[in-house]
Amino acid sequence: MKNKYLSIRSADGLYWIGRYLQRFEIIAKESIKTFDVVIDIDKEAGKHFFTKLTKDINYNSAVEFFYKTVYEVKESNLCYLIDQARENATMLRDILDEDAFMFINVIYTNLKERDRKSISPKEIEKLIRKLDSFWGRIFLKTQHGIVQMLIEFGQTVEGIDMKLRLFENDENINDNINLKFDIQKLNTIGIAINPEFTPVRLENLTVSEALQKISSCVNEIIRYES
Amino acid sequence: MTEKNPQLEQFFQIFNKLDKNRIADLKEFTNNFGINFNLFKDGSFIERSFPFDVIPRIIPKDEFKVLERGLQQRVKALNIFLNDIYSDQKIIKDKIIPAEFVFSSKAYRPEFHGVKTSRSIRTHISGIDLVKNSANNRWTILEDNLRVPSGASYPLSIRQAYRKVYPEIFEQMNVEKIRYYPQKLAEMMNYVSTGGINVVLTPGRYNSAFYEHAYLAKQTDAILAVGSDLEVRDDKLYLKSFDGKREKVGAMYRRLDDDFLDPLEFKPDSMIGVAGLSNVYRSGNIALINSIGNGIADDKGIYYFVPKMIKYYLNEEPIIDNAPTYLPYFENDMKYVLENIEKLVIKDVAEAGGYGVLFGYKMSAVQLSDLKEVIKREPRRFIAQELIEFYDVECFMNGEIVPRKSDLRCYVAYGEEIYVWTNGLTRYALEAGNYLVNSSQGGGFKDTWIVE
Amino acid sequence: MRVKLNYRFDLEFSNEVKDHRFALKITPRKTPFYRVEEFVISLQNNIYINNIIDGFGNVITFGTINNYHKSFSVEISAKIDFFSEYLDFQDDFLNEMYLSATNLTTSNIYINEYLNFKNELKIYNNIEKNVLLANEYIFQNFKYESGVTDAYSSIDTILQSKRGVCQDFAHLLIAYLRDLKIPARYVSGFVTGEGESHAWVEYFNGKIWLGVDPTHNRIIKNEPYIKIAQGRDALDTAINKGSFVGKSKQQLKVFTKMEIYN
Repeated sequence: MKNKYLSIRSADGLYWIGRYLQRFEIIAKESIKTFDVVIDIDKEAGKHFFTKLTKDINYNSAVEFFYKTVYEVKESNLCYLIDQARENATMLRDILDEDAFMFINVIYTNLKERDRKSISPKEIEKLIRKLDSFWGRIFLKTQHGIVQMLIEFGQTVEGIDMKLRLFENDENINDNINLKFDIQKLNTIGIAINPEFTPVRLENLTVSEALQKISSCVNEIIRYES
Repeated sequence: MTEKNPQLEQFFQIFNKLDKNRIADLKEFTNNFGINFNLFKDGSFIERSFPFDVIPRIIPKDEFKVLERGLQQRVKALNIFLNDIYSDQKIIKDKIIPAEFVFSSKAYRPEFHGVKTSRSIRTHISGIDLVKNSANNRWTILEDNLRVPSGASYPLSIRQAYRKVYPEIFEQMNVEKIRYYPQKLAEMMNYVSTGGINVVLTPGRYNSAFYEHAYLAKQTDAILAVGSDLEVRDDKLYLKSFDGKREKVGAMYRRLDDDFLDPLEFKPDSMIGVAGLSNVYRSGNIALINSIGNGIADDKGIYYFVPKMIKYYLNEEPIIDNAPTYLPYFENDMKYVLENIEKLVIKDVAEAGGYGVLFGYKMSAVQLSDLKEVIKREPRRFIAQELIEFYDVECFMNGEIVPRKSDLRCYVAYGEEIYVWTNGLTRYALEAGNYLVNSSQGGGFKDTWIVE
Repeated sequence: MRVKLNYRFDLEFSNEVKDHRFALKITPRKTPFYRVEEFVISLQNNIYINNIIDGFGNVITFGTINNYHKSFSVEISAKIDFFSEYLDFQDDFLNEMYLSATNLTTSNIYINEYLNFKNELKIYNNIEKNVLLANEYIFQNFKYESGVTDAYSSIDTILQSKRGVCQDFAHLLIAYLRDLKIPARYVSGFVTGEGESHAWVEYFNGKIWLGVDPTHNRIIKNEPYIKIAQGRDALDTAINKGSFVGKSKQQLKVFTKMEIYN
């Protein structure tokens, strides 16, 4: 993939693959942790979690909670997220590594084509391993280029977005070290893609201001048409 | 009747000793990697993997060498024909082909008369369909496809998996390598390019052969683009790059039919083409693969004249035969067709994908007499062919080996030289006795091995 | 005879549009019976344009307007010197090309109406006579009226309604002549006395192409007909084809002035 030119559509697709898969990973991992809590420690934990993501969920058991996380929560269920990622990956088959595509496809067929009566965290853990393989293919040290950078940019944006949403009430943007690290990474990738990229700074912003800023910084990387 | 040859025997000797479970590995490969040929059935989009059969079609190398020479000859003549039709039209002036046949074809584009294509190549990629006649053991041309022939990516993909799953066979048999096809395509694109990047233009991810569009773009290092990724500025074509720049396109492998290419020239409601592309083409600033207006040469009516083209342009006898064909347009042929219609295959010149093929022996007396009336009214619209008994191939279905009707599509890349790919798409009908093997009708495919 | 032509069209959009690509056929063709002494084409905003010739020898003027705009105007002015009788020579390709039926010159629904029309005309062994008869018949039996047909109407519409505009008169005459195996082609351009562009027919008499105008019941000889584009039917000669981005309705205003000044 030497000297590859990327269309706006392709660049946008790569960015969103990064975002959808990162969201998938975070929600999958958080849900597995929350599942354990919902069993008999805090039955409302699942509701609290999704409220932070501005989504509603109702359940009568931990099993039902988990099932809905995978299949039913509006626009944040795992099945939906992998579907979106796969759609993008399909459109980008000419650019994506074949094995990378295959891992997304396998996760997708696993969720879509199984008998949807119940699903256990163990099965989702298996799929997270496949996702690890996907990231591994993308970030191979031998293959640094614009394709990887765009996916990583999207992945980082979503990581920051999710962290901001999942803040506890007393948390402060300025104090969160993980966030600082992510923002530094975002700016590094941004400048690598476009030397004119304006570094993102989130100090002293409210959470909603920060979310705004994060979701719009892609416009400095991809010249979308007006 | 299936064909026997020593190479196929050799294959079975090795194959039968190997674990039958390996077939499941191949299936998993096509599923995991989404090797799809999608269908539209009753208006809905069905994504599905292209059914694949594990037993390859095997052609002895010396037999293929003859096919190779014959295909090179045929494509060379067809290319000259297209250049002639869109310039001096000598073949019509010399009365080899009746003027009416060319001019009444819907695929003929007089508005592009006089356009010179880069390196005078118009048939950059041809898909020639053949069957092997069991009556005389000779390969016969069924049809030429010079517009947007598809299918090469499937055997290319499956061979990779095959070698991983059945390495023993490749160690013991001398199978011709097929990996050079994408390279030949890339070389061809560079050879005809008018300067700039190479692009594969796709209608989009819901097209049946989208897998192939993406696959070939990747393998030839071309950019996969949809119409809205491109724009015409002045008299050149550009890719809209994500960083705001515009990259000039020098060669474009377009996987759309002429009708959808340019709303300013063809169908005005086409959303998948590029407005203004035709004038870039007229100006000589883009190499379109394949060129505009090729449909006149793969028009089923023109098929009848291809052997005459070979004699007229190359002064040679055709190496590979056409199927015996009759044109009701000619009086003697009309007489023969009307008298023998139950024995013949009648093809509507306009239809593509196999829908317009009628088998005389399957039709009732009423249907036959209706058909005769239509033929008498519109003789130019039909051709009639003898029903060829072509060899079946053996397929491994439901645990047993069964015969199925199949054809072979060979791919020819015309660049600095005319390259015939040492593979092909062998398509087979899923149901027994079904003569229609087209992918769009739901058939399957096999790998094709050229073996010494 | 010297003639001056001024023509302008204004396309108004109800909403702003952008990425507007256009292809115009608006340049007078070279002919053996007039000389183009002067020709100027001007577009709004000095858009950069390119010219190329299509297979029929028509000049295509094409370009792009990227920015948002609400109107598109093109103006031409020409000075033409007519020095002999109307005729034209063969195209680059064979005349048989103009024997083929096209969608617009075929009746699919009102086949009986077409056959009735055809049966009204006696066929002679003389091309000129057959042309004259058909020309006259169409003029007398079909009424010139706009609003009944549109740019994509086939002869079905005029056959059924008995009304149409110059485009339909021309298509009908072409369909008939081709039936008689007389190569016939569609010509668009300008002639005095019209408020907009005009369409007529050329037929091949075995040696040269001659002009005939069914809308005016005229065998064209010395009248000032300026040829802009020719082809198999109206679709090959459309003055303006365009595509743009934006949801908008369009309104077209046309201004024509053609006068003899010498």
